[in-house]
Order: sequence, then structure tokens, then C-alpha cells
Amino acid sequence: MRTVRTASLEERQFTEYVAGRLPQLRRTALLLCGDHHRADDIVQIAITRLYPRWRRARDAQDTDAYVRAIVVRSFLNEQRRRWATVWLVGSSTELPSVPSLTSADADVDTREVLRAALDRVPPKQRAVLVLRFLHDLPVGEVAELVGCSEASVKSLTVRGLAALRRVLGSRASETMGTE
Amino acid sequence: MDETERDAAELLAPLRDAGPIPGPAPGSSVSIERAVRAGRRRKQVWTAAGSAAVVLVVVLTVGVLPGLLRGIDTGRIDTAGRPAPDAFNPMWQVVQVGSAGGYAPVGYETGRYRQVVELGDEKPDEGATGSGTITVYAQGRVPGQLGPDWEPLGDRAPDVYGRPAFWLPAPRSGGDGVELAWRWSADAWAFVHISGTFPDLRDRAHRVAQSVTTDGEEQPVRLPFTLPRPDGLTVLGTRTGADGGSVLFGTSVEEGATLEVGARLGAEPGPGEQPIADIGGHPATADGSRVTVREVGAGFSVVAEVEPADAVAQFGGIERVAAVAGSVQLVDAPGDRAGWVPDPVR
Repeated sequence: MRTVRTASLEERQFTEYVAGRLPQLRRTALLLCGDHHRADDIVQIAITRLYPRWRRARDAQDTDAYVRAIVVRSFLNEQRRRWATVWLVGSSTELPSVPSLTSADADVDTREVLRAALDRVPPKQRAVLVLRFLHDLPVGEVAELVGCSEASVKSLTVRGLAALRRVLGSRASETMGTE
Repeated sequence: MDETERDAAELLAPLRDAGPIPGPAPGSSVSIERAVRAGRRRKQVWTAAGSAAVVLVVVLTVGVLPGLLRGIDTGRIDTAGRPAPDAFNPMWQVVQVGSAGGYAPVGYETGRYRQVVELGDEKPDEGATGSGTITVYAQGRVPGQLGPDWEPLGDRAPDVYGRPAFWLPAPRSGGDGVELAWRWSADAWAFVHISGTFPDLRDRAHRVAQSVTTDGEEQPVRLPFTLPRPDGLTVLGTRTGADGGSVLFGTSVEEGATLEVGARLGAEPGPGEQPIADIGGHPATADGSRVTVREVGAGFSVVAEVEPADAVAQFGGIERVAAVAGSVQLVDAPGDRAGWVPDPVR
């Protein structure tokens, strides 16, 4: 006789929550890692880790923050494992071509250039930039997420911004319209 | 928001407008159903492990342990006893390690948030090629550790002194070998990474982990020299090996550039160093960030080096680095470890 397993209430809540948040989770992961396939892997690992912790996450003061922490941690863990590969294989030093500001697709191209440049910033600095300036998280929360002090977050911000500008070169002012 | 933050916010602004990625999109590999299946399995393992642990504790407590304790000298002390601090004193070594699994400690690095024991072959003359590290983190200080329920990714390994342990999918530093993580105290983790030609690396890694004692008496760091504390600098850590040791200074306790000052047997100048004026009557060389003073005594050289090199200005320039190197005083017999001294920064 075949047994059909019925989803529990908690499991249905988990599924509904993850389905609703998947776009945001994938965006966070993509900004952190810069690659759609890796972003999917990170989200898959994160939601797998979330499942057995779902009750705690659901009852947390801020479920989204709890889940975001798991995504960030999954990224940092995955990054550590990839470290050797990154050094051995390396990656292209070329950024996508500079978009023309008159192009109809300028905004999309600008984002691609920026995203590619962000991917060349060291992972921890990148995580700080993403969490602070794209998720608007306060310094204290970012410190907890990446596992360092608030002073380190500020230092990582300065270094991350410098690295980003270095990668972008003159494009930072020409393309992004800053300075 | 200060100027840096405004700059960063402005520079990254185009990415803010990108909006969420629709999903699961065609081609996306994310599957909620797969996560549920895998998550269920993980939960079942946890439950089974918890039940087994309860049964084991009851059996040991009621039936087995008293008998064992009556008849056997238990020898080692469980490492789980001492609560972990959230920062170490870098002038003290908190970990004691014996030889185990064919590996023996050959070096020790202290720091505020982690202490590292470098491992080499227990019997280097017998042709084995093993090496490794034991890294013990202060409470909550594993990079990426997010809160008290954090645990490493990986398969469960046999417990280490009753504490949960995991086989990492790959060594964190890359490269060959195996890495075992275990919780040595509440919210505090330690890692053993070993590599070598042995066919049973996992067994050996576990034996190495079992040889680690963290609740013994802390030992002061002993070095073959003393030096006055450079003004405005803080001790961040130390390195000690058979051929000498060093102290790492920083301008604050947080991560950043370091000035490492030490004495090592036979240390030679770096490839880019050029002769400079003698320091304390000894020949010296320097480049932009490193000073080497040779023939200081008993074959030892004094080396002072800023990392990264472009941070030398934070430490007052290469002239001050040379001055700090010149302030190092070797002990009378630096080649004899028995004569190395505690509290070297005075």
C-alpha cells in the first residue's frame, strides 16, 4: 500500500513563505555573488537550512532578517569553499562594455557594469556594501550578519568602496554619474 | 550618514532600482520541494542524533561510566568544560596539543579572536609528508558565524568529547586534505585541517581533535627577545616556532595592517632589500616595508615588516619600522628555548 504524506501546517507555511520571498532571496544572493547559477545554489542551500529551523524563524521578531542571515551565511560559507578555485581559475578582468548614456538601454547596461564590478570586490567587503546600501541595514545588524565588529563594518565599507572605485576606474564618474 | 556612506549609496544606487528577480524563473534551479525533502532528512537526523545522545547519556550515567571510572584512569580532561571567551589575550596560549595521528605541533600563532597550532610530521625522518593546522576560535568569532545556533555546513562526524562535529565539504583554505570542525564550548568552534599521504586522513583528523585541550592551564607566550611597546601600537598576536618568534602590532584591535617584529634563526633579507646604515652595530637592509637586521647573535636576525606594504605610513614610515627593529633585545641564548622569556613586550 502506498502511503501519501500530507504536508503539515508548518510545512505549508514554510512553502508559502519561501515562494513569496524567493525573488528577494535570489536578488540578495545575486548581489552577493554576481552569478545567477551560484545565486540559485546559495538560495537552495539557504532554504534547505531554513526548513528544520522554520519554527524558530517563523517566531522570530523579524523572520525576513532571520532568513536573510541564513542567505548571507550560506554565501560566505560557499565563498570560502570556492576560494581555491577562484585563485586557480581566475576570472575575466574585463568589465562589460561601457554603456552610452544616450542608449535606450543605458540603465540596464549601467547595472550590468556595476554588478560586474561589485563581483570583483572581496566577498566580505561586498557583503557589507550590499547589506548596508542595497538593503539599508544598520551597521549593528550588518556586523552581526558578517560576524565582525561595528568598527570593522565601517572599515570594510571604506575599503569596499575604494575597491569598487578601483575596478570601475574612470567609469565611476563617467558612467555612474557620480563626483 | 558620512561622506563615504553617501558616496557608496550614490554609486550603488542603480542596483537599488533593479527590483527583485522574478522566480522561480525558467532555468532557475531553485526548488522549494527539494529543500523540503532535504530539510526533512536533516531534521530526522537531528532528532535521531538527539534521541541517541539521550539514550547514551542514560546508559553511561546509570550503567557504564561508574564502573569505568572505578577501574580506569581517564587520563585526559574533557575540553568542553571551560566557557569560551569572546576574545583571547594574545600574550597567552590557551590550547595545548599533544602528538596524535602522526602529527605534532611545530608552531603556534596567537590572536585576539583565534589561536592556531601549526602541525607537522610527528616523525619527519620516516618519510611521511603530513602537515596541518588546528584553529580554535573565541566565542562567536568564526568568520561568518551568525549567532549561537550557527554550525558549519557539512556531514556530521563522530563527536569530539561529546561535542558535535562536522566534516567540512572541503578545507576552508582550499587545497588538499580534510577538515573537521567541532564545538569546543558553547557558541565556540575549533577546526582541524590536515593533509598528507596517509590513507585514513579522517581518522587521523579526529584523533588530532581529541588531542586538543582547551581547559588546561594557559601558558604565557615565550619568545627569544624583548622589546619596549611601540607608542600607539597594540599587540594583536604572536607567532612562535622552533626557529624563533614574533609579535604582531596594529594601530587598533580590529582587523587591518600589522607590523610584525621578531627574531628568527638564519632569517635572510627579502629579495628587494638594499643595505642601509647599521642598526645597533649590526648590518641591516630594508625595502619600503621591511627591515632585516642580521648577525644579531647566535645566528639570529631581527625582522620588522609591515603588511600590507602600502600601510607603512600608518606605522610612521620605514624609519620608524627600523627604529622598532633596533629596539629588539635578544635573550642571552636565543638558540635554547628554555631561555625564552614570557611577557616579551615591556
